[in-house]
Amino acid sequence: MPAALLEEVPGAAPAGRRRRRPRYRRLLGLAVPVVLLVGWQLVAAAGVFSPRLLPAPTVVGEQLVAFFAGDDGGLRLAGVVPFTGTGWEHLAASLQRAAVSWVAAVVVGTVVGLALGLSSLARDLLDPVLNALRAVPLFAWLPLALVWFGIGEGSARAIIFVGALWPVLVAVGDATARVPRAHVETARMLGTPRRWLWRRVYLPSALPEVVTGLRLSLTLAWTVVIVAELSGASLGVGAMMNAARESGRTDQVIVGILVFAVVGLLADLLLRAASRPWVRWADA
Amino acid sequence: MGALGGRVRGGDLVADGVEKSFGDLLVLDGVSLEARPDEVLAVLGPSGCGKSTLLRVLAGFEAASAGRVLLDGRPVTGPSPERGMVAQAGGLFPWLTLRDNLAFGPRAQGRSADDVRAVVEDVLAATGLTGFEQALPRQLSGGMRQRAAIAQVLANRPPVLLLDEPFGALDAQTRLRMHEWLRALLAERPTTTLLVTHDVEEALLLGDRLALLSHRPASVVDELLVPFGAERGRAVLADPDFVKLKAEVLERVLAG
Repeated sequence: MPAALLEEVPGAAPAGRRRRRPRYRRLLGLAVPVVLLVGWQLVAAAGVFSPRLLPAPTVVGEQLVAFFAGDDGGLRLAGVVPFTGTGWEHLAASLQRAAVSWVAAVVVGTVVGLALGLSSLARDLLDPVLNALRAVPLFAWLPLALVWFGIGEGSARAIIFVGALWPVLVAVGDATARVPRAHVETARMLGTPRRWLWRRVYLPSALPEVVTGLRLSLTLAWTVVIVAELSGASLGVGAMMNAARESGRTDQVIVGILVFAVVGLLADLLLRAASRPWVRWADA
Repeated sequence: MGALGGRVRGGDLVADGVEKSFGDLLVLDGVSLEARPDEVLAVLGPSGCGKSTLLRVLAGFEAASAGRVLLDGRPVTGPSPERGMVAQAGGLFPWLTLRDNLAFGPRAQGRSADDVRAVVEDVLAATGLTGFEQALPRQLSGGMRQRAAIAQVLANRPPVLLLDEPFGALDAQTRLRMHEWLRALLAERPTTTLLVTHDVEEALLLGDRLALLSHRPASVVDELLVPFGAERGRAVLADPDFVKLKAEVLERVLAG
């Protein structure tokens, strides 16, 4: 809770006041990567492993720069996954793949989750089958997806969708089922028509848990992208990594890992920041 | 209240032989009472006698197993803005600011934005909460929260107010201050009020009339007029008549 608000509310309960950690503590999270990086450089420089197994961070850094800022020479060969200067293209392809499937999963997961949370009929009807489907390992769907959608965009999107669906569906279903009855009754008593309860009560009340589900789901969508891209795609960070592996470019593979890590982190931060105004009330 | 037009006339709320059972458990055994327009009827009963169940039936959250509930002669069939209910823990929505909580009822009924603003300003002033519009419920003190819960219901200008031990969770000092505040509020804008409580002092401070309930299964065993004026401050607590009546009523309640 912001301190300013507390001052504006005399006699307010000091709920949620937390001891602030000193500022330097937040920088500790950066110290670990720095130490790892230095250690990695030392090990690489000592020549313990061949550069094919463990390229030096400086080499990876060069490749990273080349990936995003290099000159691709305007050359494209059929069947060859380009590297230099194509970072943004690969990234955009992966992001688009993940985003399209994630948004679809969020919409479907929210609608079905609300149905499960709000209607005992829907629960009795769907819960067993959904739980059974949820128990299927994600990549067990892959062969089926390949048969149904062929190698490429369709099956990639389908797999990402399935992976991203469950966290949203379960979070929305559980959270709406647990909305206190008192809130629903108050809303009814104040004149809220039944058909608007989901919008005025269930969704806002469930939102903090739903956001947790959305974050999990987004991480999963981003994780699954690479697997979806390993087969057949010619654009995408995963496709680049696969091509790099085939041509023995460990440095470029590591570039891909770094891109996945940083973009995944940023996406999560973005989602948290965007949802913040709506879940602030639930802060301890 | 000027901007909001004339005041709403208090409703006439009647429970006629209300029975309620949950499975084999009979909770209300033919409760009959009437909260007359603009009066405060305090319903007093031993702990666990079914007071809250009675209020939930009057609010329309539970259907009576037998008997009827009538508001101005029309049967009550479900929850409605014309019977505003405030429970012990309050009904504020934790995710909304105070302003949005107070605007919830008028908005739910599709009032215009200007209307909503006027109503919110009005109930903020009436409940002494002006200046806290942006606070979340958890940032308010217990007493403020209960005033806000009452303000939230008042924003719908209900002809009937149903209060279920609204100050039960507050400390004794705050509770006394709330009693004085509610008295003043109801004097300013008379509303038929049915107050359910197990606290004899609260019933005598706030009620114009008292209805005593028996142990479960509950029925009305006695009604009495509270013989103190409308201007009932904490001074009345020292009045020998008040002390005597309080002791008598307490005896009756405990005897069930």
